[in-house]
Amino acid sequence: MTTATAPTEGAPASQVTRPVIERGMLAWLRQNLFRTPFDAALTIILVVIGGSLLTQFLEWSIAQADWTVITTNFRILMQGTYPAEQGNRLGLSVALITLLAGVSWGIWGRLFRATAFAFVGGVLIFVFVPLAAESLADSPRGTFGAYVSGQLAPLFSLLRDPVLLLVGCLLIGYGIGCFAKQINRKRAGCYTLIAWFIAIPICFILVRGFSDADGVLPFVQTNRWGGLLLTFMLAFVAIVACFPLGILLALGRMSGGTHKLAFKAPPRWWLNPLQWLHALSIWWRNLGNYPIIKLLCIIYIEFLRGVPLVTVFFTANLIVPLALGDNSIDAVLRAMVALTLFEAAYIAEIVRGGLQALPPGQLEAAKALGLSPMQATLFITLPQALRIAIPPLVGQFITMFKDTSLVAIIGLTELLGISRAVLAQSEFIGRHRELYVFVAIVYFVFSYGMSYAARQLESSGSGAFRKIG
Amino acid sequence: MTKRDNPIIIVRDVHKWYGDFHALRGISMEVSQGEVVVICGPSGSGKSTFIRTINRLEEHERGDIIVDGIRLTNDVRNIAAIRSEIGMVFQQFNLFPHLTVLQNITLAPIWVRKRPRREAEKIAFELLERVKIPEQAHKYPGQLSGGQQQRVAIARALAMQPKIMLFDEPTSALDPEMIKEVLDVMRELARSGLTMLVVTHEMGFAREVADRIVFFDRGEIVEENTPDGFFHAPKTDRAKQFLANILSH
Amino acid sequence: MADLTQRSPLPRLAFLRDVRFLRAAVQLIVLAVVIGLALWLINNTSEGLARARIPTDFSFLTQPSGFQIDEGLVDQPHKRTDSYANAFAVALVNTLRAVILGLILSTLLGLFVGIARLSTNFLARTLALAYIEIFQNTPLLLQLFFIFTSVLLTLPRATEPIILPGPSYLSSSGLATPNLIATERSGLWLLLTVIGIGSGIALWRRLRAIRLETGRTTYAAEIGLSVMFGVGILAWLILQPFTVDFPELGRFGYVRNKGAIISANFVAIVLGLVLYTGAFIAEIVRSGIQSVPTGQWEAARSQGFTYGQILRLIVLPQALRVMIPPLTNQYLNLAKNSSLGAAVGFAEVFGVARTMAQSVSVVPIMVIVMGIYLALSLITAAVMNVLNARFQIKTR
Repeated sequence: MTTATAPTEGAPASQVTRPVIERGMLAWLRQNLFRTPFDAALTIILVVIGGSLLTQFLEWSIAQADWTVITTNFRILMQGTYPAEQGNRLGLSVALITLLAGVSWGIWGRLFRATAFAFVGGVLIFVFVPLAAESLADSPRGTFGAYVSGQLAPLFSLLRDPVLLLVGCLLIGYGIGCFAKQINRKRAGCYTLIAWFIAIPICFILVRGFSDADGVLPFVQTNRWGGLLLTFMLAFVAIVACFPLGILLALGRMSGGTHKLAFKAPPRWWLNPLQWLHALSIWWRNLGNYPIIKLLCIIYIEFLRGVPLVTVFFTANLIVPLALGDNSIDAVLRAMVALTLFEAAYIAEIVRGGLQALPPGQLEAAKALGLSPMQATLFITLPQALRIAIPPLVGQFITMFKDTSLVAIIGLTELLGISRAVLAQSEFIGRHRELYVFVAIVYFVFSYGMSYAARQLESSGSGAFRKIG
Repeated sequence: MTKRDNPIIIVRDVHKWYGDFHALRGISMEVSQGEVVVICGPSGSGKSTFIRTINRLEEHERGDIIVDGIRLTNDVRNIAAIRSEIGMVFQQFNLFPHLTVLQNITLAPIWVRKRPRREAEKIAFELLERVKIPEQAHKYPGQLSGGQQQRVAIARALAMQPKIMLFDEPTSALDPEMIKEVLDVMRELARSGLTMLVVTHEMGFAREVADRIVFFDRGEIVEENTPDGFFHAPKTDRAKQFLANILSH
Repeated sequence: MADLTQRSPLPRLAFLRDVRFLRAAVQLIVLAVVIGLALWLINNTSEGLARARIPTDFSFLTQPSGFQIDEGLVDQPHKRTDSYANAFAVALVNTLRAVILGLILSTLLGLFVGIARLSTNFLARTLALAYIEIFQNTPLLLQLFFIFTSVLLTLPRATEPIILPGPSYLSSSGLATPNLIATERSGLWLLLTVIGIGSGIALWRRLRAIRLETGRTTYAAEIGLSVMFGVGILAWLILQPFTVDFPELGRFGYVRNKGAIISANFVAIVLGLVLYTGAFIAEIVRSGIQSVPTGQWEAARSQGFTYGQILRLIVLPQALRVMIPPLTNQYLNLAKNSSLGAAVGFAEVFGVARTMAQSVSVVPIMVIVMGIYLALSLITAAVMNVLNARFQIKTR
C-alpha cells in the first residue's frame, strides 16, 4: 500500500550534497564578482583598467625608475642636516616611542594573526632581499634581476635596520603590555599614559641636547633638524601642547547655562529698537553663567577654524618674534607655536562634541552629591567626554601629522620640503616620481598605523565602560 | 509632641518661571523631621521642578526655602551646607559609569567630606548591605540591572549621611519586576525615620508608607491629605480626576 | 510656625560668597588676564614693526601693483599698472572658481566612490577602499606636487600638444578648448532657455500630480524633459546665439585671446582638491548610508524597488540628514585648502598675497587675506546650516 510520496525523489537528505556552484571559490566569485550581468561587465572593465594601471606602474618601476635618489639621500630625508655622529640619539628616541606604542597596543589593543604575519613577512622581505641581491648582481640592465640587485637591494638594506628597530620595539612593547595587562589593567593603563606624557619631553631633550660640544648631549640647533625627524618633532610637540589648551577652550565654551530662552519675534520686530535691545538681552542671557569667557573662547575657536593653516604659519613666522620681543626665536619654535594654537581650536570643538554627548544627569548627580564644579569636571564629565571623543581626536592627530608638510611655506625643511630640496640638485632633477612615491609611502605607513590604532581603541572601549542610564 | 512640631523644610510662596511659563505658582508647605511626603500629580505639574529647587538644582525666583534652619539663597556656603544635608535619587540613576560601584559611593565622602578612604569604604559596605547588594561592590554600573543600579544610587546618596532624601520618580525607568526591590529599600528607609520627599506614581507604596500626600497640578498644590483621606475621599475635583485616570487600569 | 533665622555666622560676608558675585569675579579676572596679555603682545609687535620700519596701513591698496596675473576669467585680468586692490579681486575670483568647481566635482566623486564602497562587487569595493585609504593618508600638498610635476608637466609642450576633439589641445601649458563668445542674441537665448526650463518643470509637476490623482499615464517625465531641453535647443538652432572661437597654436604655444585656455595650474589645484576631499566625502557618504537601518532596505526590497530606486527614494534622503554636518566640515576644508594653489603656481588669494608680501608689508596683507577666508568660511557654514535645518526629521 503506497503511502504519500516522499517530498523528494532520490537520495535521503543526509546524502544530498550542496551543488558545486554554491561552494567555495566558485560561490565567492559568483557572489562578489558576477552576480548580475551588469556586475559581470563591471568586473571585466575594472580588471582591464586596474590591470593596465598596475602593469604600467610595474613597468615604470622596474625599467625606468631610478631609486638611487632615495638611497643616496636617505640620511637627509630622514634627519636633515642633523650631525651623523649623533644619530644614535635619534635611534634611541625612536626606540622609546615605538616601545611605548607597543606597550599601549598590548594593553588596549589586540594583535591579530594576520597582522603578526604581515609584520614578520615584512621584516623577512627586508632581510632577505639584499641577501638575494648578491646572487643577482650580474643581471643585465633593464631586467628584473638588475632591478632587484641595483635598486631594491640597496634601498632595502638601508631600510632594514630602521625596520628591524621599529618592528622589534613594537613587538617587545606589545609583549610587555600584554604581561602588564594580566597583572593590573587599570594601573598599567595609568602608568602608560603617564609614560607617554613624560616620553615626549624626554625625546625632545634627547634630540635637542643641552650641553656644549664635548658634553654628554651636545646641543643641536633646530635649524639642523630636517626631514622625517622634523616632521615628528613638530607633530608630537604640537599634539602634546594643543591637547590641554583645547580642553580648556572646550570647557570655556561649554560654560553656558542649561535653559535656553526663546526669542518670540513679533511681526516687523526689526523696526523697533526696543525689540533689538530685548533680542540682545536674551542672547546675552542665553550665553549662560560665564558669558565673557564663553565669548572669548568662541572668538578664538571660530577665528582659527576659519582661516587656512598656511596663513597662520605665514603670519606667525613674522609676528611671533615681534610679539615676544625676541628676534632670535628659531623658525621651528615659531612653527610649533602656530601649529599648537591652530590645532587647539579643532581639538576644542571635538572635546566639546564629547561633552555634549554626555547625559546631563551626570553633572546633576555630581552637583547633588556636593562635588564642587571643578571636582565634578575633573572626575566626572571630562573622563567620560574624552572617552567618547577618542575616535575623532585620533583623526585630528593624523591630520596634524599630515599638516606638518605645510611648513614648507615658511621655508622649513621637513620631509616634504626636504624632498623638494633634494630634487633641486642637478643630478636628481626629474626623479620626482620616485621620491614622491617614497615620501607618500612613509606618510601612508604612519597615518594608516595611527588610524588602525584608533579603530582598535574604538572597538575595545576599555571593557568595563558602557553607556548606562 | 507630634511629628509636625519640628519642621525641617519650610517652603513659603515659591515661584519659578521658565521664560514666560509659570512653572511653580506660590508653593507653600512644611515637612517635619522624619516625615515621609509623597508628591504626585500629572506630568508637567511641577513636581520634579519643585523638589529640584530644594537642593538648588533649579533656582526659585520668589519666596523662601529654609532647610534645617538654613535659608537657601545664592550664598555658596548656604548652598553647600544644604546640599550636604540632602541626598537625591534620580529617575535615570545617573551613576558614574567609569567608576566601580564602590567608587561611586565613596567619591563624595572622600572628596567633599574629606573622610579617609578606609572609613568611607566601611560606610559604603554597610550601605551596600543595607540595600542588599554587597557582592556588587567591584562591578561597574553597566554590568548591573536597573534595579541594582538604582539601589546603588540610593546607597550613594545615603553615604553623605543626609537628613533628608529626595526621590525624583525613582522607579519610573525600571522594568516592572525590579520596581519591588527598590520600593522595599525605600520602605525600610521610611521605617528607620528618615525624612523623605518622594515624587512617584507608585500609589501602592504611597498608601502604605506615606505620612502625607501632596497633589500637584499645573504648578500649584491642589490638595494635601493623609493617604487614606486622599485615596478614599479626595477633596477636590482635580484630584478625583487624576485618581480616576491612574487607578482605572 | 516658628520663625527660624539664618545659621550662617557672618552675614556681612554673604556678598563674597554669592554665586553670582563669584561668577562675575572669575570672569573679570580672566578678562583682565587676557586683555593684559593681548595688550603686551600687541605693544611688542607694534614696537618691533616700527623699529623695522614696516608700515601697517592699508594705503598701498590703491597703488599700482607692479606684477601681473594671467590667470582669471578674462584674459590678463590684472596688469602691472592695476592697483593692489584689483589684484586681490582677481585672486578672489580665481579662488572662487577653484572652490566652486572643486565642491561640485568632489561631491560627485565622493558620492560615487562612497556608493561603490558598499557595492556587492568585490573589485569595486576594493578599488574604492584603496582610493580612499591612499588619498586620506597622504598630505594634500604631496598630492598636489605629484599631480603637478608627475602628471601635468609630463604632458607635451604647447608647441606640439595632444589633439582632442573640438579641436582642443592638451599640453603642459594647459587645456585649450573652443570658446563660446556671446553675441547680442545670447541674452535672448538665455531668457528663452530659462523660460523653457521653468515651464518644463511646472508641466512635469502638473502632469505628475494628475497621474497621482487620477491614475492615468501622462508621460510626465518625458514631456517635462523634452520641454525643458527642447526649448533651449530649438532656440539655439534658430538664433545661433554664440560664435565659436577656436584655439590656435602659435610659435610659442597657445595664441592668447583665442579659445578658452584652462591653465595647468588650475587643473592641478582642482584635481588635487577633488581627489583629496572626494576621499573624505566618500567615507562620509558610506557611513551615512550605513546609518540607515537595514530594516529600511528590507521593507523596500519586499515591495519590489530596484537597488537604484531604494538608494534614490529611501536611503539617501535619510542618509543625507546624518551626512550634512561632516560634509559641511569637508566643504570648509576644501575652501581653506584652496590656499595651497600657491604651491602649484595658481594665482589664488594666498599665492597673490605672498607675491605682494615681497614689496608691501605683510601685516595688512595678512589681515585682508584672513578676512577673506573668514568671510568665505562663515558664508559656507551659514548656507550649510540652513540646509541642515531644512533636512532635519520633524519630531513631536
